[in-house]
Amino acid sequence: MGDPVNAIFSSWSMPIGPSVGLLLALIFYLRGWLRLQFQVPNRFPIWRLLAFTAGLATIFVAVASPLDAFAGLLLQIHMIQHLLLMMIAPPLILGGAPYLPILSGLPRWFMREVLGPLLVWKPIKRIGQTLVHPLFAGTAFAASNLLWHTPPLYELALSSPGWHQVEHISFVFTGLLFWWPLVQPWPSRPVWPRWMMIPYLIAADLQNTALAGFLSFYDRVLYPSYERAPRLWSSSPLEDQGLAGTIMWVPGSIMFLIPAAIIAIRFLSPKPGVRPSEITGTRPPQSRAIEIPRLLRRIRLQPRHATGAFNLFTIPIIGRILRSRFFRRAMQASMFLLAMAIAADGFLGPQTSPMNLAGVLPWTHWRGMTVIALLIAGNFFCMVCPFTFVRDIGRRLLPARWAWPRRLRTKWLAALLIALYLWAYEGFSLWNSPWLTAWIIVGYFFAAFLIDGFFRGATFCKYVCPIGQFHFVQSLVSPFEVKIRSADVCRTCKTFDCIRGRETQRGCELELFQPKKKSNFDCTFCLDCVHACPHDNVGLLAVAPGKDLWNGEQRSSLGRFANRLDLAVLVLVLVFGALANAASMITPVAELVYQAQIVFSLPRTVIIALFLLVGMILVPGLLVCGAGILSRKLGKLSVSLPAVISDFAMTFVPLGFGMWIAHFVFHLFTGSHTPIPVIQRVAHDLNLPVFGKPDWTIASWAFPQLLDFEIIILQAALLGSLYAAWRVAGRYGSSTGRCWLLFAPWSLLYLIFFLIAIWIVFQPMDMRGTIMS
Amino acid sequence: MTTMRATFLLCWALLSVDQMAWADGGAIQFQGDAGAFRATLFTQPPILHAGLIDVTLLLQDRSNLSPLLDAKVTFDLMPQERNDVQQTQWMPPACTMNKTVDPTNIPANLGHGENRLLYGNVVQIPASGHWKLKAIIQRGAETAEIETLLNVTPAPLPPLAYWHLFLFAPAAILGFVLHQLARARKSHPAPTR
Repeated sequence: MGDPVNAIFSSWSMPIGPSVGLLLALIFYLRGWLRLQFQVPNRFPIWRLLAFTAGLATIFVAVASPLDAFAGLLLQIHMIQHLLLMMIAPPLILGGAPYLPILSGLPRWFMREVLGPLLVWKPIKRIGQTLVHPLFAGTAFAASNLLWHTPPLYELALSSPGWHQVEHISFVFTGLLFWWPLVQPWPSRPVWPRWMMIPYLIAADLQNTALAGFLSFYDRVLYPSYERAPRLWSSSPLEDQGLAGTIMWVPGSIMFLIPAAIIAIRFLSPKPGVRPSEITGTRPPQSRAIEIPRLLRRIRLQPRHATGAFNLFTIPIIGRILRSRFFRRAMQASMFLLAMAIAADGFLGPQTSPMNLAGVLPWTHWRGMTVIALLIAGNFFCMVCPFTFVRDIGRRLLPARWAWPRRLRTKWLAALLIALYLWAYEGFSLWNSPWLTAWIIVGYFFAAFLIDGFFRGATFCKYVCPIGQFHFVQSLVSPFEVKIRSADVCRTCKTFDCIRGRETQRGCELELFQPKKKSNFDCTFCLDCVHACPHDNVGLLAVAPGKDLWNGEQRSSLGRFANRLDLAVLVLVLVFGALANAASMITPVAELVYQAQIVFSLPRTVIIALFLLVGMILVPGLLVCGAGILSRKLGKLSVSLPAVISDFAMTFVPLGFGMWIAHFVFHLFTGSHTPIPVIQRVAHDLNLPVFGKPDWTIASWAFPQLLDFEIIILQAALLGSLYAAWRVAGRYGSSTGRCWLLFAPWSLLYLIFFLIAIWIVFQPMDMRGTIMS
Repeated sequence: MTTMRATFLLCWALLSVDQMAWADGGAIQFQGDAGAFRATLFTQPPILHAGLIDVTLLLQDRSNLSPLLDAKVTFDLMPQERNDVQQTQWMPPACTMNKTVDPTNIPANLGHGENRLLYGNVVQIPASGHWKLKAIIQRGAETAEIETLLNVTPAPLPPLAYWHLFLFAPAAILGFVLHQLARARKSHPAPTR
């Protein structure tokens, strides 16, 4: 690094926004280009791909190379950067005729459902036509060039990285517009005759020459920043400005005049055999009007090949591992041993929560990792659940013959247990008591052992386990689902092994019949159905996250959401529980609870119970009922209020899940390193000097951008809930107007929830599970 | 689907290798000669708020202005007067985990930002007020110090500091409304005569 020249040439960076944008553009173009190669090879030769790639590479060089690093010190370098963005990159990109390759390279569903309707919408088409009209494009290009070179705007861009990026974007954008009529990327049609491009280019060159001449001959430094900037070696600011003007003038003019000359030569010497209409370019050839729609039909509107959704089991090694019974059993046994170790440490170890496995692993790490697994994959915790291990032992040792009482075959009990758990967690500060945590773990194992030891099926999982219910609800927005690969195969099936089982393999214990299963709800990812199916027709398939929230169909074992008020209450308890649970850890609420204890002279457990009763049950219940009544009245619905509430309650799931993620991930990162000293301490206590002495001063992975992540995840959650509610409203409302009326009260409720959630994440939060707590 | 996943993974990889984006010069806070050196001290952002700022230094040979890349540079930040510290900087909740960094003897590195000629580091200004920023330069037997006064304004209100992140949902809603309009027009085309 001692040599300045080396240092200059190694001044590269990786600007995140442009790099991701360019990479995505290249991937989508390449994908589309490969597809079009088979459809119309003569339209997309290799040089188009090379031109497009070179255009993107030019932009990358302009914004990531030493040109960008030294643009603030030398005007001449800055001028080269601008020339690349305006004069070199745009014609190269357009040379790749990127419109069709990028469109066909985008995901099919995105093209069909999202972009397609917009692209064929007349106002959008009109805007597009106006933008690439030579008159508008030329004016926009000249205006952008002139305005950004006025001292106030140039100084603004130099002083603010954000404005500098806006300047670069406007250069590339207006550059693309300017070069569009000249390159005329296929399949666009020319608006002006080809010869009109000569005055078009000359006019552009005139404005460029005027500006360049001014820069070259002006006898004072135009931009104060360059006057103040340190001089590298010994060139003066005025010399720098003069050289910048020359760069703008000479290479700039060449870029305008060479194409003008080529067009002029072509115009003056038409090739024999070419029709006059093709030279003037006023009317496209007849065949083209037929060719393009045909091509569009071929690449876009042809029916999708029946390749099916992506199946996680098809991944070479991971798929086999996931399907393996041994893997699942081994994971359950490992989790069981870990749970035992946590309980043992909870009973016997120090009762300072951040120094004990029971104070750290279950409340911070397990919960955080579980929500991340639910977000990116699915209900994988239930797959490796340690309680299942104990349940199976219970069924071997005890009769396991009785039927679970009919009245209890709902989610009411689970909803009540979740509410009780949330109260106990806060009221008894479970997170701060390794001893109580250990008792809960042991109690949970006993409950699983006894319930499934005496009752048939997976009674504990389906009707009792609050952890399982949490996962069932959140996995409604997970991207993978255990489901059938082909409905045709199920139609011909006569044995129904997926639910009945066979001699060597039991069927679904949670009574989910695969052909009629519609979501992850009640699915423990046990994969019994996968192993039982004789046709290998059940997979772990990729699905659109949340698509089942607005699905009003009948589902196996669950029925319709509209008929399950117990399910709706369970969902609402978990959703508003997310808010109440996070709120109870922030300073303003903690102070409020403390003040209430003093004023009313009541124990903390009672105050917490009242807080949860109001914040998690009464107020949300009233608001949801109010939204249901309003929605029913405005939409003039004939269905009952409980049915409306039950249907719309499911649309709260994204918001609730978003809040759980924001909250748990916060604790996961702030307490990220806490298990290290605790494991060191346990090893030390057991006289195993393998990890050394515990280091309690270890740092966390907390980073300032954690709040950015929380804000974005909450917004994504809000959008998910709004979309789901819009789809449910669409199911009820016969017209768009009625849909809006049905949707409005619920959207207001989501907005209130979102604003409270945002307020919570901005507050100082208790660092539970860390030494600082 | 596989391509989409690969794309996502690539973007994620890019995001994870990204470093501090604004370590690239900025507003000049000091320019002048110090011993055998010519030093230029930059801060980014140009208008200083309490919180994290990027401080960089260009060190040149005073005689021929060639950049010097073999010096040892450290920054010291201290309030101009003890009672001058005003409004304490707001920190995102997670950051209260980390101890406040000692604002003295902060090493400035050459590989800090995009421009490899600049020595730099991120400096945390704990509160608004007037702060003295000192750069201590050592090159062989030569030592020099430069000092400048920073006028630090209070940080904007927390939600205002994150306003750009809140554009995501309204932009998506606007896009959705336009999309619905486009779909409605497509399914109910205007009657033709």
